[in-house]
Amino acid sequence: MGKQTDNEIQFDKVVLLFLFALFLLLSPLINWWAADDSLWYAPYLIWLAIIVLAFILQRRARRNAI
Amino acid sequence: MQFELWQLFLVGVGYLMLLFYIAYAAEKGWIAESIARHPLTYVLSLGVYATSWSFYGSVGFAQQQGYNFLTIYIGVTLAFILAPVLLQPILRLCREYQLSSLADVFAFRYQSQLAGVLVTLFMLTGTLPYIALQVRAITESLQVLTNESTPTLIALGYCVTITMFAILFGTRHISAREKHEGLVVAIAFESLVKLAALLVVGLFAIFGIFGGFNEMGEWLQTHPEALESLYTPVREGPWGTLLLLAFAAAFLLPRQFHMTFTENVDPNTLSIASWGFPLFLLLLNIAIPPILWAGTEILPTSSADFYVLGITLNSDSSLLPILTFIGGVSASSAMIIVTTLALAAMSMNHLVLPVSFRSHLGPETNFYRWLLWGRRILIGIIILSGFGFYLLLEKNQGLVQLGLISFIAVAQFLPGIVGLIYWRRATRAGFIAGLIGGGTIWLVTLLLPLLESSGLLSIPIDASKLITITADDPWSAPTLWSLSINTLLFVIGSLMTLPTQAENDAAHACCRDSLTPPSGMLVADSVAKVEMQLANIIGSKMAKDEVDRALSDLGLTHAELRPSDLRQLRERIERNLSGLVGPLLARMIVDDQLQMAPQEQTALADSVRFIESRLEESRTRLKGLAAELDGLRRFHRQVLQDLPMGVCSIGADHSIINWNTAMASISEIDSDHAAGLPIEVLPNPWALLLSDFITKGEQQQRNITLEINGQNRAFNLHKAAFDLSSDQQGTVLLIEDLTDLYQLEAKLTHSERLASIGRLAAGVAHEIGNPVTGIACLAQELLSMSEKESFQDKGLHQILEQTRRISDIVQSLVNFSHAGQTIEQVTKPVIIWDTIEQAISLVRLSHAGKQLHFENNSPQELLVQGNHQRLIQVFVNLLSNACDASKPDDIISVNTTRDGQFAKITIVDEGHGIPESLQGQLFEPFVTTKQPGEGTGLGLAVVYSIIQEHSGTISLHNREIAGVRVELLLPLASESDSNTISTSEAI
Repeated sequence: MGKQTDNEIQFDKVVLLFLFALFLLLSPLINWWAADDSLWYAPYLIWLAIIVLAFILQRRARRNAI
Repeated sequence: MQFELWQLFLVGVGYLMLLFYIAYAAEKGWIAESIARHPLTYVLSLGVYATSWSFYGSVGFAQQQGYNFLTIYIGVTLAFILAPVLLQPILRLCREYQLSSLADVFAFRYQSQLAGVLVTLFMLTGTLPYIALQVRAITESLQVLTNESTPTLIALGYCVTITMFAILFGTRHISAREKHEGLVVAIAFESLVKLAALLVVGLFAIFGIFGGFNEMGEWLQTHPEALESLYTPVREGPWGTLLLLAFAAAFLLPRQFHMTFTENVDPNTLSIASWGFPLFLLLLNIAIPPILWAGTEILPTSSADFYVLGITLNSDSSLLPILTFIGGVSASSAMIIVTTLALAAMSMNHLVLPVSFRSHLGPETNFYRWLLWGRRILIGIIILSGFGFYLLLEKNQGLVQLGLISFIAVAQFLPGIVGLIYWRRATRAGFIAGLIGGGTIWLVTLLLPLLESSGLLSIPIDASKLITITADDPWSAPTLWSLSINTLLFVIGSLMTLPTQAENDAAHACCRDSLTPPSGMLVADSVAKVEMQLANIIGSKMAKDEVDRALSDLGLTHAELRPSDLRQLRERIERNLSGLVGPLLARMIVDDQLQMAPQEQTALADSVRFIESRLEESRTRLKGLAAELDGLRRFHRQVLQDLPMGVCSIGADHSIINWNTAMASISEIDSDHAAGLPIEVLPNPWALLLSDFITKGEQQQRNITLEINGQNRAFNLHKAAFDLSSDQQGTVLLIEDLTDLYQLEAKLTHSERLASIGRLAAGVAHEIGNPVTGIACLAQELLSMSEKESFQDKGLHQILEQTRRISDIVQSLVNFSHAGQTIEQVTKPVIIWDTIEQAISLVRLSHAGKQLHFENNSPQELLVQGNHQRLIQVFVNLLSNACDASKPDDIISVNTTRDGQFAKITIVDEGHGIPESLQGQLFEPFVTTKQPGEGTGLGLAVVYSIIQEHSGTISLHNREIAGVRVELLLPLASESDSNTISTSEAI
C-alpha cells in the first residue's frame, strides 16, 4: 500500500473533523448541551471548539506545505 | 428618540458615497495591495452571506425558533470545514475553466444549455424575493427610526444607488478572470461595519439595558422561560433541516458563489476562510441572545425582527441608532450588489446570449462592448425586478421566511454538485429531471403559497394537504420532499441514460482523475491562422486580444510552432472565452472556427507529459498494485533523471519525449522547454548534431567535439531504437560528456611526460656533454693551429654540427614536455616509421649508458590515423619500459606490418619480462614492476588510454625465450586523408 501524501492526510483529517462536528450537532448529544439549564453560551462554545479545531488543521496543513 | 426621514436619507447616501470612495480607492491602488488582497479581506468579503436577515431578522428568528437561528451559520461552518474536499475542487474548476457562476459550472459539467437556463431561471425565481427582503428591511428600519411610513421613492432611490454601484464597480472588467478588487474591498468593509454595529448593540444590550453581565445573568435566572425558549426548539424543531439548508447555501447562493469562487484571487485564502469565515459568523451572532432578551424586556410589544434597532433608541446617544441603521444598510446593500452581479452574469450567459449571440456575431462587432452593456442593463433589470417584488409582497411575511425560501431553492443544486465533484456517471438528463422535480415541489409548497398569501395570485392547490407543513416548521417537509424527489430523479435519470462523449470529458475534467491525454491536432498550423479564423466570428480586434491573452497565459510567443502548443492555445482561448460568454458558447466558437484534425496522432511527448503531470497531481490515492506500480514508475523515472549521462528519448515524429537532468546540464536547455519540441528546432549545435545522428545508420559516434560557449567539449553519442507501436519506432539517445575525462587524462599524460623528462634528464646531460666536450676540444685545436685555414674551416663546421645536435636534443625535450595539454584530439594520417624513429631518439638519450640497439623495421610508407604527438608519447613510454627491462647490448626491435584495416606494430625486447602476478592489471594506474622512485606506474595506463582514443588495441605478453612482446593495432589512414600527412613538425 502506498504511503499517504500530506494532502491525503489533510483530507482525512478534514472529513474526521466534519464527522465529529456532525456527532456534536446532530446526535443525541444535543439533548445534553441543549438542555434547558445549560449555559446560554453553550452552543457558542461548541461552535468555537469546532472553529479552533479547523484552525489547527489548517495551520498544520500550511506548515506541511511549507 | 426619533429621527427625521431626511436625516436618515442623508446618512444612508453619505454611507453609500463612502462605499463608492473605498471601492474607487481600491481600484485605483490607493489602498495598499497588502490590504486589498489580504486573506482577511477575502474572509470579510464572504460576510456578504449575512444580509439584513442576519442583521435584523436573527433576533426575530431566535424569538420564534430559539437557538435554531444558529443553524444558518453553523451549517456554513460545516461547509467551510470541508473546504479542501468540497470547495477547493469547485474553486479549481472555476479558475481553470473560467467559470463565473453556478449556471456556468452546471452547463459545463452536464454540457447542456438547458441546464444553464434552468439553473439561471431557478436562481432568479429563488432570489428575487430575497432582494425584495433587503429593500423591505431598509424601509422598515427607516420606519422604526422615524415612526412614519417610508415613501416608495426612498426605496426606489436606494435601489437606483445600489444599481449604480453594482454597474460601476461590478462590471469594470468583462471577463471572469479579472477580479473586482474595489468590489471585494467594499464588501469586506461592509462586513466590518455590520459586525461592529451588531457587537456595539450587543454590548449596549448587556451594559445599557441590563447594567452588566451579572445583571443579565440574574435576569435570566428570574426569567428561566427565556433560556428554555431558546433550547426547546433545538431539541424539537427543524435543527437538522436548517443545518442542511445552510450547508448548501454557504456556497450555492449566487452571492456566496460569486465571492467565494469568482472573486477569489488566491486559492490559499480559501483554506484560511475555512476557520476565518465561521469565526466571523460566530462573532456576528454572539450578541443576538442579549439583544433578544433586552428587546423582550423593554419592547415586549414590538416585532422582534427590529429589536436590534429598537433597543438602540433607548440609548442617550443618537450615534448608536445611526450606527445600527448603517449596519443594516451595509448588510442589505452588499447582498443586493453581489447577488445582482452574479445573476446578471448568469442571465447574460444563459438567457440572453444563447438567443442573441448569432445575430451579434461578425468581424465588425465590438463584442466586448456589447457584453459589457448587456450585463449592465441586466443589473438594472434585476434590481428593479427585486424592487417590483418588494412592492407586490405582502408585508406580513417574516424576513426569515423569505430568506429560507431562497435557501431551499439553492439546496436543489446539491445533487448536481455531487455529480460535479464525485459521480462521473451523472448525466444531464438526470440533473435536469432532478432539478425540475425538486423545483416543482419547491414552487408548489413554498413560492406559490408565498405569492398567494401576498394576494398576488390565487392557486387551487393547498400545499399543506399534499405534504405535512406545520406552522412551527414550514421548512422541513418541503426540504425533505423536494430534495428527495430531486435526488431520486437525478439518480434514476442518470442511470437510465448514457452520458455523451462531451459529458464524459467534462466529468473527467471536473473529477480530475482522468488519465486520458488530450488527442488530436489543430488544423490551423500557426498562431496567425488561429487569429484569422477566430476573427471570422468575434471580430479581428477581439480575436487578436484573445490570442494575445491566451499566449501570455501560456507563456508562449507567436514564434512557438509546436502542434501541442497550438492545441493548448485553442484550449486556453476556449477557457478565456468561457469567462466572457459561458462555457457552452465558448466551446461553440472554438469548435466552429478552430477545428481539430482528429486523425492526427497526439505527440507521444504530450501524452507522456500529460499523464505524468496528472499522476503527480493526482488527489486520488492509488491503492494496491496501482500504488506499487506508481512507486516503481517514480523510481525508474528518478533513476533516468539522475543518470550522470545525458538521456534523451525521441518519438517517431522526432519530438522529444524525455530530456533528463544531465542532458539539460550538458546542453543548457531546460527539460521543460525541450520536452515536446521537435528535435530540429533545438538551438544549434544540438539540432544539427542530434537530428544528423538519429538519421544515420551507425549506433554510436565517438569523440565528437563541439564548441559550446567558446569552450571545446567532447562527447560520445549512442543510440538505440524502441517500439512505440506496431508501426512506429522511437529512439533513445545517450550522450556521454567526455570533456572532464579528457581534461583529467590530459593532466595525467602531462604528469607522466614530466616524469619521463626527469628520467631522460641524465641521458640528456650525457648526450649534451659529448658535443660540448667535442666543441671544447675543437676550440682548443683551433686556438693552437690558428694558422691552418683548412683546419679552421673543418673545425668550425664540426662545432656547428655539435651545436645543432645540442639544439636538436633540447628542442626534442621542449616539444615533448609541452605537447598536448588540450582535449582537442585532432587526428591526421601519421607516418608510423617517423613517429617510432622520433620516440627511439628520445629514449636513446636516457638509456645511452646501456648501449642498447634499436631496430625500426617499419615500412616508411605506412600511414596510421592518429595524433602524432600522442603516438610519440605511446612509443616513448613503451620503449622506455623495454629499455628499463633490458640488459646492456640487448636489442629492442619495432616491427610494423599491415593487418587488414590496421597497422600491427610489435615491440620486442630481451629483458626480464613481466611478473605473472601483475599481468592482469598492467594497464591500471600506479601498477609498476619498477622500484619506488624509478617509475610512476602511469606509463601503461596513459598508453592504454591513448590507444583507446585511437580506436586501437594493445596487448602485452611475455616471450617464451626472454623479454616482452607488445602488440599494437592502430587503424590505417584512409586513402582520401593521406594528403594531409602529419610528420615531425613538432620535433
